[in-house]
Amino acid sequence: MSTLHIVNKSPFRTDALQRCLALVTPGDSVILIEDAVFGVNLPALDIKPLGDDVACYALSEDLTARSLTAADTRFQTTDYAGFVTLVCEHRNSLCHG
Amino acid sequence: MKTLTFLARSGPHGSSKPKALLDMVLSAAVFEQKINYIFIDDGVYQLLPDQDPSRLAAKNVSAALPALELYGVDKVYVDTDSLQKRGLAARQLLIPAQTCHADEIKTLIADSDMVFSL
Repeated sequence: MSTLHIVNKSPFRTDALQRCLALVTPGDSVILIEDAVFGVNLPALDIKPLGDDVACYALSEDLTARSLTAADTRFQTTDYAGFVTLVCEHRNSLCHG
Repeated sequence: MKTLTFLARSGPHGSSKPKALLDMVLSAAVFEQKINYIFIDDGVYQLLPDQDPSRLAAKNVSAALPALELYGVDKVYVDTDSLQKRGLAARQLLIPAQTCHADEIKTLIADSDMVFSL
């Protein structure tokens, strides 16, 4: 049974993303929303520990607002509707604030 | 005339802090105070061009930054280390900002009558 991990804080201000990654297991998904999308194209962002069976998303509304793009990164983009679908597809949602 | 230093250290669209600080800067400028406006930490993201928060039903606060010049706010700084950590370059920014390091920011703060940080 899978979990959707939701991160909404900038990786430069809190360790929310690191605390999230510590709890991700295969089959889970991670989505960056709000200020967490600043983490999307960081050279220093260490998401290597995540296997290929962990899907990583970033919310397109928040990327566009901040003039960021997820191109050439590990992250796929999804919009609000896709976010709702992800919540429904996973058994649990866990916020890492 | 007092010297006021404003530290913009929050990313855009995550809170109302960037707008609140910009309002303070413009208000101070109207009263012809000496102003330092420093973008540091996640605040450097406020300087990215082509922000479009329309799908967040929010206004683009950064669109008002080019007006700083009209208000006579010409001491605009951006922290080099903050840019570097985020993989950003000074030449890609929305408005011209003088790059500076922590040592220069320390001096600006030390020489200020008041400091605001949002």
